[in-house]
Amino acid sequence: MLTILLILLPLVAGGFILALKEEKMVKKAALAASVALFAATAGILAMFYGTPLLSINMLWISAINSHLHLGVDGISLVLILMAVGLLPFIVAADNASIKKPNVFYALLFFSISAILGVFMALDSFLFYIFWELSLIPVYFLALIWGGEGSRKATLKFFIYTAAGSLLMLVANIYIYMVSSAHSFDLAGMYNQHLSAGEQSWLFWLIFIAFAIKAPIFPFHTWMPETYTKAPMKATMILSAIMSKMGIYGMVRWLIPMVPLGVAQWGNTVMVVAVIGVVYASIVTLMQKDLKTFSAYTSMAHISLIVAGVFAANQISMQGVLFQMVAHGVNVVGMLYIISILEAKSGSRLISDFGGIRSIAPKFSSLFMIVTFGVVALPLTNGFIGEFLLITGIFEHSIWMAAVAGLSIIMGAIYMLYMFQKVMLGESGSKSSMIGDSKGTSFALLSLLALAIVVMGIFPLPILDATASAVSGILSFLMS
Amino acid sequence: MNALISLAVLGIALIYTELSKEKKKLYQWVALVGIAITAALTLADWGSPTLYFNKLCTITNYGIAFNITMLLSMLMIVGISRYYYNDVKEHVSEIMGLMVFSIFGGYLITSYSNLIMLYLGIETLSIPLYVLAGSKKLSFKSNEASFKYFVMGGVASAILLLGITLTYGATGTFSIDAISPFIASAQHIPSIFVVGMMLILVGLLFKAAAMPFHFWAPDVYDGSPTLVTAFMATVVKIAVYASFYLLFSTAFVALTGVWAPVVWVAAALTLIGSNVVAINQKSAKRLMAYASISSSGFLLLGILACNSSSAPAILFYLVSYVLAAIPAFAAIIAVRKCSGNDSFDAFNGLVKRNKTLAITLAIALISLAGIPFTAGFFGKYYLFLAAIRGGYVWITIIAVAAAILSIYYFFRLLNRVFTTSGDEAPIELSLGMKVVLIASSAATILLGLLPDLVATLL
Repeated sequence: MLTILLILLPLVAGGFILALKEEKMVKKAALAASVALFAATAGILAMFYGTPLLSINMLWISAINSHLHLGVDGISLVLILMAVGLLPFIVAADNASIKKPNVFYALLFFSISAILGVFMALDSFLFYIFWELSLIPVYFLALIWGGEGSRKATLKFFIYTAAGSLLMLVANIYIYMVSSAHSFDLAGMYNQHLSAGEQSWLFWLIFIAFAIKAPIFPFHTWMPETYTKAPMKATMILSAIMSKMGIYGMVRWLIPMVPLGVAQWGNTVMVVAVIGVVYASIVTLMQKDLKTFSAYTSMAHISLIVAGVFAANQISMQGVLFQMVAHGVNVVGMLYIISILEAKSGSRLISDFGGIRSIAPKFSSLFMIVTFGVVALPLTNGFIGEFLLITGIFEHSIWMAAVAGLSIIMGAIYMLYMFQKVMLGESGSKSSMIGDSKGTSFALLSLLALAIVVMGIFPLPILDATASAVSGILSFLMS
Repeated sequence: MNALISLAVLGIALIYTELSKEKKKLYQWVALVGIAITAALTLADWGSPTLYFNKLCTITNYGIAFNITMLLSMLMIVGISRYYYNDVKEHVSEIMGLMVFSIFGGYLITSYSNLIMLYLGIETLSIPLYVLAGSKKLSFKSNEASFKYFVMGGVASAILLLGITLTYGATGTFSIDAISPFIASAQHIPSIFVVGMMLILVGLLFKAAAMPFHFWAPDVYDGSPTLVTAFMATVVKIAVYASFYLLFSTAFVALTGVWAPVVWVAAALTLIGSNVVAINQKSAKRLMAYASISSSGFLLLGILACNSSSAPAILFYLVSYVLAAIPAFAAIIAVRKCSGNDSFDAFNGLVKRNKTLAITLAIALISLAGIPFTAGFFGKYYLFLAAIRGGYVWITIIAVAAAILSIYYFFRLLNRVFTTSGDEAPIELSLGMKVVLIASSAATILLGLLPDLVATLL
């Protein structure tokens, strides 16, 4: 029962915000609601995790035997907390005045509601519904509040992701049809013993949907434009939270549903993913706009995570889960910083900045911590995630690990290069507009920085939470 | 049977309403009461199959479900009609009367058990439509549509009748229940029978506006008065597909191997052709015309599959289509009234001109595009399910590709509603319009959450 409550809470909060009118009120209410939502969600999960109260299974559509089946295991737990935990930061970032603020913030909460549904659904049909549903609020966010040219970008984004998910739908129906119980239930979907030939093409139908969402090379072409044109908060949702839906889908659904397909194509995907790491890193270096820059860094990291998924051993998979959370935190941190720069100077071009460190030392230090997190320096969360990933990939194949290891080096190059251009050196044309951070933004950025360091020093709680669920998923590959 | 009498009375009553001085107020109430009574009488037969007219008709739950769907579209059209005809003084109630007569024909072909009844029903359905298509007397396009529809419809009817004749020649019976025993007992199937069956198929594909027999449809849909287009796109589609599936799932089911390839090709052509052509449309009404043809392609999947999930799937798709297409047409009507045309540009910034209209149009378009949590999603989903259950995986993948194209063109229109600004003049809606728009949006979402409400009926 409580799982439904978890999904309803953001929905109700969104409805409440929708009813407000005045912009200041809306913003305050949204921030308060997001913090309360985090507290409530964390509270419910802490009190009832592992109890039957956190799962529900009842008939939803009898015509196709689809169930309202929701549940929370270690993997879901971590991702739910990440999504809800990042929401206050997303809400607080970029304080610029917007039209129709009540609708804007309500849509933000609605998207979180659908995303939580994705992370908890244990019926593949229900999963599909939430998966598609999460797209709609974000579509409108990017369409209505996006920058110039957002109409084309959002249409492309919507078509890409909808196309991918429809292919997944065909695969779902096929597995449902051949399943003995004619059920969409997770447990039923897992144990179909489909022939290797079937799994081979089913793998691609499902994989492409997830690959587009993540996105990884070569399915990423919608991403730079959408991430750049969308309003900052929508970009945060997309890159920090929704990109994880794709990886979550691979872990939860793809691997156990078509293990033979994964065995057959896993190496191919890993090669593509590793190419993606290198490709995205190189493209990152050439970016002038900070938002596009962060879009490509994000893609580089996501590609490495996908490579980790298909290395498919306990270490790499644990790395996947950890790095998903770490990447979420880091990306929000980075975009938060970019939004501050943009709000104060009206520009996102790297060339407009420089020498900010001498003007805004506190801001600059926090920026540095976030940068270290993305670079994966020891004692930051990025280090733990990438270390586990590379170790896991190494166990699978030395060569892949060698190329993937480049990602850390290249990450260091482009991040430090960016940091140097923006923060150090001679003062840029717009640098003088940047004041030091104080008040809310200082507090929130410090919290993010703190999270980066704490996760880097005490990674165990997250790793412990996911360990058993991960080995459960991997057991499908062994048998 | 009682429902048929009540329909006939309603039609005549509506035509006589024209004599009253207060006709423009009166006709709505006559129509509403008449539809309510007809619906009650129709539903009274639920669960008890009965034979009528010397076994020419069998009223079953199957027929009743589609009949009610037709009444639902009629109800919605009556709701919009006052707004649509606000500047027309004469003949409005006659137009409504003709629509009711057309539905009378529809009633016959959702429940026939005899091929003669099929022919009679289709003619009764079509003849009022030829008049309706030309009901905007002074419009050149409307007259052209009427003439084109009449000629093409006449050809289709002739082909259908020829097919029925040949089938009779081979089997010696018009009864559709006697045809499958004939096939089962025949040593070899006479070629005259196969030719007859194929001609019936072609006739029905004509009426259903499936490719490659669709060429009349875009011009007729575009040229007819928009309200009549809404009627044709919904009621005619419901009646024709109900009769189509009824015939091929009973009489000709044993010969699936012969007709299925033809339907497969027609479905593939319709799905690809109509959606590709729709992409470049600039006029919303013409877009809806192609979307209507494209919906034929999806419905053909249900006929192709021809298994126990087909009938519920076809019904659900049609219900969801009615609930989305009529509001979309209503929005086109409203925009056209205020901006003078229905090009995509006229939809720019619609949200600023009328919020209710914009949001309900958005829900309708999302449903037409088949996005989850709307009825339109389940409409397509059940058809895919039926097709895959029947072993037709490839055509389903083609249908999925078509669905992606449809997302593209519907969202291209949707995008404009919420961005950019164009005409600023606010749009006023009548009460009837508001009720239809809001109720259909609510129903669309309700069926998107609880599809069982309709999906388990048959």
